[in-house]
Amino acid sequence: MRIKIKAFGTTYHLMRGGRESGEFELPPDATVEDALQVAGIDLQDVWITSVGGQQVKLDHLLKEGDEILVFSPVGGG
Amino acid sequence: MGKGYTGRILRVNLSNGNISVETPSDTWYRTYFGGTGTIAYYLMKELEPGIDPLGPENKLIFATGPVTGVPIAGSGRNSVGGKSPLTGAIGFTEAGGFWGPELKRAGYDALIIEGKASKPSYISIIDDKVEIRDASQYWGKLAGDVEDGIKAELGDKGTRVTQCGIAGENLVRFACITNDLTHFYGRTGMGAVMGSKNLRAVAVRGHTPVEVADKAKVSEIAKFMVEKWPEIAGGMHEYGTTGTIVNLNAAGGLPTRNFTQGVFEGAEDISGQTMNKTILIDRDSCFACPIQCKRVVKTGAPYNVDPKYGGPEYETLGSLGSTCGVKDLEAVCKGNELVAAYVLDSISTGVTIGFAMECYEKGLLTKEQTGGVDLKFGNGPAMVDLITKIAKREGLGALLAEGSARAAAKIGNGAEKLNVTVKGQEAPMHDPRLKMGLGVGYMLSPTGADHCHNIHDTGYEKRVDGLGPWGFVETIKATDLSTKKMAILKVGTEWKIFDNCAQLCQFVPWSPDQVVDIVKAVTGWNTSVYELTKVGERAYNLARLFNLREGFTERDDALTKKFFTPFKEGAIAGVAPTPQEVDRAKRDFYELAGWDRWTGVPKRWKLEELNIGWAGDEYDRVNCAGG
Ligand code: SF4
Repeated sequence: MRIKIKAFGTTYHLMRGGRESGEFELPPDATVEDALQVAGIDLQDVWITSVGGQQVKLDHLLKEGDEILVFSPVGGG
Repeated sequence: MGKGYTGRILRVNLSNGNISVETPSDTWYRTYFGGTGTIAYYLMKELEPGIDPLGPENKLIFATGPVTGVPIAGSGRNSVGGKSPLTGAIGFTEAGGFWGPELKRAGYDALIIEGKASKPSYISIIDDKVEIRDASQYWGKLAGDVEDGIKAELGDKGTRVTQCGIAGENLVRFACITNDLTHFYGRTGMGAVMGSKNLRAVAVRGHTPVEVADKAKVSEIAKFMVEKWPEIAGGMHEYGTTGTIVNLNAAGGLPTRNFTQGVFEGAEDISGQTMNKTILIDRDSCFACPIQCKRVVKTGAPYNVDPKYGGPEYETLGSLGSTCGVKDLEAVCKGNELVAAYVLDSISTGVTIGFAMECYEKGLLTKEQTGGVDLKFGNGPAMVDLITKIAKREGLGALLAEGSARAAAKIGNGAEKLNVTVKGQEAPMHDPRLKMGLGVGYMLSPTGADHCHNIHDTGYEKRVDGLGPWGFVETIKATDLSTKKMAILKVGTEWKIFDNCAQLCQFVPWSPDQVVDIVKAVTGWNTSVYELTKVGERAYNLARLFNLREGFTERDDALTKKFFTPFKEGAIAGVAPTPQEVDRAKRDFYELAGWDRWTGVPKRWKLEELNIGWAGDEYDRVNCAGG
């Protein structure tokens, strides 16, 4: 299945290669954590993940066409 | 004295025109260091308690640190301080840019301004030539016109100008000071202190590069950041601090409608991502910094935002945007241009307007008082319009120019409950319901609610790499208020204050060990994280003693009531610290800091340990007289 990831890093880029979004091909029973790994996002940099506007945990099961939003922890500002 | 310093402090008395230079010892420099440390030292030594912050007895101090002006990322900074007209406590505030490095190049580590000029004036410093000049033609003018005028008058485009604006002239209690039009010494109302001295600007030009102890090492460290920033600070370049809007909104802690909500439906509209796609035309930087985190925006009608004043950072998007319920990015950018042109603190301005909006919605301010304006949350044009009124003290602006705490007391009828200040200073865009340790940091900050010399708990939920040198190696929850969190708050605050003594930008991701390497290479002192943390602790304790001498007590270390009411929606719905929890945490902090658990007064042994026993004597002279 194909899923989309949008990454919101505040101080550095979360996704490998400095990209901010991308589409990935994943096996049918993939979780949010699997998707993040494929995208090259370090779990230590992940603070909040959401799918369809709902906050989800890393073991949340994905379905075709899902868009995952990934937010890094915020420091100062 | 260590390298990096010029060894000279310039003193200008505006009342009698005296100009002098003093040369403190090597030990003095290593003890008080620069920036916040220098400011806290002089204010404690030279101000009498109880003086009027807007009277000639107050002093305004511009202080660099050893790293200011050394060609290394994040070194464009200096501090400004004096007694704050907003809080009545000690005031200090920092900015980047180019003015601080220029002061160093002119041969001075700090500039102490005393007295009051008899007519509008500005100070011109060109190396050894220091003059007090007439500024009558600049009085009442916008910052951009004053900048251009002074540069043309002095005939040197390389001149760097720092100035208060129309807001400072009008003694708005949260007027700030700007340099180069886009870098702001934002907090604690130092612009009003400057205006009260009839001083519109300080123009500086210098020609002597800053000397360092180990040039090769300095270049090596500088090169590290020049090469590595795309990887470790790429997001900072891309979005500056504006990237924070969507992340804090997702976490349910984006200050919205005067802190009554933590989720803003217009977050995406005012986000850095939207700004990048629409009105961002350029990025701006500070001295020697490759990261370029600052924004430059331009818009067409109706607001026609002028790019010469840069663009909003996170704090301004939050304060003029979500805090006022305004989701029109162009209106927020116009607000940003106006606070820059009048030289107002954008945080206090936005939070004060947000407060007025809530008062209006709750019927505490009438349409008559607002001059017929429907001052509801979300009214962008009204927010924009109120900025000019505040700067000029017109209509409702005259009341709001006093700051939201004084305005609340005047409005009465429970308006105090809507007010979001600590020690009279408006809270920045970080909510203690999300970052609980930061909330205690707000209570304890000597300058009132402040996010710069503070911790951001959410940053420790996943990684604690930055805390290793102090022995904290486990992640810790943002809602944790344990003694351990207080210990983190203590070293975190001290280290940030140290950054503001040495003058390094906290957005440049130098590790603590790299900071030590920088200080060693610049000064030639064989120093350590331990010694430099002590420098921060010393300045922090001096600032606390200053406030205690002014009559502040532990009761003033208190959080505004609003933060004890949980949000009804969003990711942290139902979550808030309780008054008992934060009180216990505060007292744990006191004990960790070597302050009395009940009175919050630093113990004598702590002051002796920090080598500032003299400040304890001074505290005793005032506070224990006759007793
Ligand atoms: S990171 Fe930004 S604020 Fe800090 S020195 Fe660089 S450009 Fe200036």
